[in-house]
Amino acid sequence: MSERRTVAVTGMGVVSPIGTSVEEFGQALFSCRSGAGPITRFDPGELPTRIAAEVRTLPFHYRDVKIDFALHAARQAMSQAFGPGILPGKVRAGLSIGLGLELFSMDDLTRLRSPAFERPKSRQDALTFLNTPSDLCVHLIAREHGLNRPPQIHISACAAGTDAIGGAWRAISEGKLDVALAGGTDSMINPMGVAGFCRITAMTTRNDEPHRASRPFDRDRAGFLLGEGAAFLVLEERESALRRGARILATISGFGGSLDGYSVSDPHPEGAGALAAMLEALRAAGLSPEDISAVSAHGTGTPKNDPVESTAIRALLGERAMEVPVMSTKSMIGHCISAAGAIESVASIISLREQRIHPTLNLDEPAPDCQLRHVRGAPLSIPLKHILKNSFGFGGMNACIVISKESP
Amino acid sequence: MDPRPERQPSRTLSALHVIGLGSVIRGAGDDSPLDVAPCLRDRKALKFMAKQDKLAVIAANAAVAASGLGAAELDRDTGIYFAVGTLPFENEPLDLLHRNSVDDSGTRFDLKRFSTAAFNAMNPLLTFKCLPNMPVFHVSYQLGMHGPYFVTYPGPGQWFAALERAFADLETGRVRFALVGAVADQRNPLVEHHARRTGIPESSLADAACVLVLTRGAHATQTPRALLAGIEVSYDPLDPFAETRAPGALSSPVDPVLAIARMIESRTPGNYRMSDGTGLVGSLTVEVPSA
Repeated sequence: MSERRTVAVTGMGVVSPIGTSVEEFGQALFSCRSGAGPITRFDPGELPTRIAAEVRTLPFHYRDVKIDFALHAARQAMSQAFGPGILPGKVRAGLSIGLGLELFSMDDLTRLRSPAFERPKSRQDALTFLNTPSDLCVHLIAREHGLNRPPQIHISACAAGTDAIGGAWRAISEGKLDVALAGGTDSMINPMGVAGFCRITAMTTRNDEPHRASRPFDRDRAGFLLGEGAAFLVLEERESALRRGARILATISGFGGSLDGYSVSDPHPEGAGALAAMLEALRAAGLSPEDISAVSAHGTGTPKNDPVESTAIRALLGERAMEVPVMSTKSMIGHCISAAGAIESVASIISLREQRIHPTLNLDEPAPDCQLRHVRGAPLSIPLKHILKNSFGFGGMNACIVISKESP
Repeated sequence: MDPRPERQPSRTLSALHVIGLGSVIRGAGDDSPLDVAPCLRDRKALKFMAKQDKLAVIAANAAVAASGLGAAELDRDTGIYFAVGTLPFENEPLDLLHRNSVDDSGTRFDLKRFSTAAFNAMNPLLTFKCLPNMPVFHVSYQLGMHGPYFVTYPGPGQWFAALERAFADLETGRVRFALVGAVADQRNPLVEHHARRTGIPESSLADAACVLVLTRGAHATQTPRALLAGIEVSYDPLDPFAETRAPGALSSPVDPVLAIARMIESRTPGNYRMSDGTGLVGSLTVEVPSA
């Protein structure tokens, strides 16, 4: 196997419930702001969960808002990396994206079955009537930015965003791509999305206190809070980026992935799959657990994920388990499903650049089986070199990347 | 300035050995049941399985059986690389949701009724049956696979992306074997609706899955069924809102792998090329060793 190339991050973009630019998002993280509130996107009626973390400050042009999220975040990232305009044609550039479920409209279903139904006339209306293919944004982004290599579309649920970054990292480090735009986009804040998660009792029902509802690792956690958004990183080979005068924001050092093969909804009780993914990521980075400065946890706030992830992190870190700080960005922005890993990676890069970790909100008392060095109450300033970013999806899909501080 | 990016020359990959293959298909008018039970090591999982999951497990099971891979190889030495089709939605849950979500006139969606009557009538298992990564879960669970994965969607071009990804993992030694497959449940109202609006003939829709077990020559312990050589994938993104469907473009991610499997099974070597209507073009050569 030929030597891997170092992969640099030269651009970032984010759309989240607490900010629709990297600067705004970063400020909100360290101001400990929650993006949670009552659902306003539709009337949740008497659904058990009537709160979410919505993006409220972006105009929407598409019925499926995750298209808007993706286009906006992609533009930010590409603009930061390359400035305005399209990439030169000779650059081998590809999109690697985590995507969520197709948007399904109950409203349209009813219209379709009513006697007065008239077929949509325009192609855009036809393509977004009843259900919207999730890959529409893939081709829109590729055309807009000159991404001319086959896209990698990842649909590994909650692991998809991290898988997308990991897949892009591999393509760049193995010399198959010159540039990758990697990230994810998702929104399930719609009647079917919310109802589906409610029906399997996966979500918090703390409707009277939205800002207190997302409680990763807390003794009183009772399910995740749904979020939404998008984030992208521009990845390129580090030496090539330096030669063209690009600003290096961070490096992606390694990626690992594994399958639990255990249960459709529950993680392996000993975190075997999670541990395998973390170990593979570190091996790929040429690092050992002693090199980890912090962990950006998957940290959903569900009864099952948090103790299993804690077990896996403790097994990984050994004696350092109570020394390495852990954060859960989901405590502020909710669970953004296929975009989660990407948005949380942006948070990790901001942490590396500012050398501080944001706290996990609402962690009043860590559960007995979730004992780690949680950052609570206020941001923690600490030397940071390598952050481990975890994402674990339904169906036992585990993805982990190592994000490293750029050496001066 | 023409906003369309310059078409890149495709990248050619070297040969892969096919050591097993399996497929299942239910085309138009074929409503014979899918008997997945013999493939299950844990039958409790059956209640979580949608049609798509059953198709994937049947095909993967057959491919692995033909390959001779055992539990030790499947555990962490084999990766799974799957392309899944457009999200299906069967008549029964659609009818149930609709019936319990309309107002008294029967013509308008009533969110309050949805949040009560439809919600309470909804089978909780529907959530798991909707997730597009579930076929890979069920295959990995039933076959005891814990290694790398790549699951993608929705069309034929993405199967070639899965093939590229498998090749990369085999080339770097991340895995020694790869299950590279595709599955699509197309005979249902939602996919039929998508076919109508994109110009795909409804007569071509099928419920199908096909899986190849691949390795590189260094790990092959038997004469391969076939070699896949000269794998090329290129992309010239089309505007999804402006372009009409390219003639001859395929619709299901299973189409290319099924076509390749048929070439192998009939011992018909040759070139295979496909385009999928989004700007992705994939091609390869199938070589069949002498009997």
